[in-house]
Amino acid sequence: MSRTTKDKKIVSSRFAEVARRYARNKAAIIGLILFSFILFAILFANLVVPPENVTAYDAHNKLVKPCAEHWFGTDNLGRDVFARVLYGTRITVGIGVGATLISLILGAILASICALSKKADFVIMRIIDVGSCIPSILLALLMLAILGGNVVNMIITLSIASVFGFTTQIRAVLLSVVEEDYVKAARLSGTSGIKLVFRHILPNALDPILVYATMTVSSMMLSAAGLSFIGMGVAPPSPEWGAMLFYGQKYFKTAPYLEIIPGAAVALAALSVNLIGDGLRDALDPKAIQ
Amino acid sequence: MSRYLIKRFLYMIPMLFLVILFVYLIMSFTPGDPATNNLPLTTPQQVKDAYNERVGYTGTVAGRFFGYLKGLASGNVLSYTSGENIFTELGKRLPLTLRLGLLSFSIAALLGVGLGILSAVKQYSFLDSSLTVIAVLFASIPSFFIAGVLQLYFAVNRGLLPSFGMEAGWKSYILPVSTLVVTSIPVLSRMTRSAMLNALNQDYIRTARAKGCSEKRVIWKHALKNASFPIITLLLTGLASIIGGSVIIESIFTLPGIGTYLLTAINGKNTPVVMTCTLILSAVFMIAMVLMDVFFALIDPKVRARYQK
Repeated sequence: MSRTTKDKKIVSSRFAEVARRYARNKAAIIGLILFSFILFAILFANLVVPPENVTAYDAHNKLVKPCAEHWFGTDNLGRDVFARVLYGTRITVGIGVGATLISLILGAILASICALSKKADFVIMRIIDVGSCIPSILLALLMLAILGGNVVNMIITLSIASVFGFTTQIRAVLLSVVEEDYVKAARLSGTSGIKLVFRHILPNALDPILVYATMTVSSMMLSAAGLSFIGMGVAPPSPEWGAMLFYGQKYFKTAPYLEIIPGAAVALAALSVNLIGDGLRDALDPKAIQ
Repeated sequence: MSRYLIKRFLYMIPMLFLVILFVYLIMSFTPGDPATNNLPLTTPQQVKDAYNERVGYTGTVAGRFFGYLKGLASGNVLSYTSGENIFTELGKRLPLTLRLGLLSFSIAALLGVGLGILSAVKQYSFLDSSLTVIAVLFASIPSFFIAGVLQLYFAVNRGLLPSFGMEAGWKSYILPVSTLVVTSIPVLSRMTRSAMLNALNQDYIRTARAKGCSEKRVIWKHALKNASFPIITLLLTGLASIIGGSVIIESIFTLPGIGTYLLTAINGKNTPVVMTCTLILSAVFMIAMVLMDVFFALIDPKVRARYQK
């Protein structure tokens, strides 16, 4: 048997094993189902509701309670809340996933450099020492005040604010992998630099990083919504969930659904990602105590 | 140990310097001077210059930074918006933030750690699984949403408690404290549970049970002491982030604490206030980290040995 097919077989049997363990976990399956709804909303929102409905004002139908025509009612400007929540998925979940991916990649690069060279490790860690002393919420607020609130700036801000934590986490994992015998063996046989990182170090450190990244997606979404809620995030006309909640709050006496619906959307999205993260952790490392 | 502590505290000085330098550089990108930002548009130039002079906005970007440091050393830094001494303003607002933060922190710490221990001791019981489900649920609900629902129910519908402000005395604390407690318990109880389970599965627990230790002693002495590393880490980080965490809770309930002070300062490009708040936040954080090391040295002889060279 050639080497590559053997490799593939090992990989696929490991994948099947993990998938089997994941499927046994009811909560994890619920998380996956919830997340598939979210994915559907992100991909096919325009098939369900035309995009014009998100900002279409209707002066005659202000603050209509949820009914057959407007499933989630309308807000103070007569905009359909269902359309706004549906399109808001793209923004809030997009920011969460986007910011996580960017800080994951940046963190992985920095941590790999740390794992390869002791000198670079010292310099990078001192910078991180300083950076992690600034509370991430303060850093995010400062940067948003300078850059202004929109989706791209939110992603930049949140990924920079969390890159320190990400690098520290990934570095801890990588440093333990670097001490393993197979990495030493690869080093001795002349593998070095990028090849060492991509072939030997990163693949063996993937599990904990994956779990940490999944958990980060939910905290990023909560932060994004929170920042918009205090008026520092995505600006008003776009249907970000936190911003919707903030503007809906003024009407909570007469129209509590304006506050409850976007809030429930944030909570469900965060819940689905948390459940998937928990499920992944247990499936990838069955020996660990939950 | 004391030599190590002195070293750690000295190390804080350059770190804090870098932190406020960094914040200052970010803030210096914001356009406009204090007079233009805060006085009416029609104010004559002379009045504007006098205003800038008074709050210390003179000279170059670098000069202003050193001016700020000098002011900091003499305890006299003026706010760009009010022209008042920042430390007087902070003194008025800090007690509220600390009271709110410490109160909710202690309740959350007691309940969170307690529930976590209970969950771990009764692993796989009905109590444990329901606590786990509730913890995952509440970890996913944003604090501002919980606050909103509490306001809706207790303030708007029932009229029992004030929904914002601090005018109603102790009643004003109930909703903000409950929000903070409810949002911080899930993390704490989950962490405590897994740390306790980890400790309970170790060989020394079996040894302790085998030699006839009472179950009480096994849990409270042998297991909890060994599980306390991650729990203390989490508690101290929580304690350190009380002020930083106050931004969102105080703006939800419009409370006149440090959080709203900082948020208005950031929005109003009030550089000295932002820098001073950052300084306090970062210093608190660093001191908490030093405390953590001290605590670990106190409970773990292995760590202690490292400092006794």
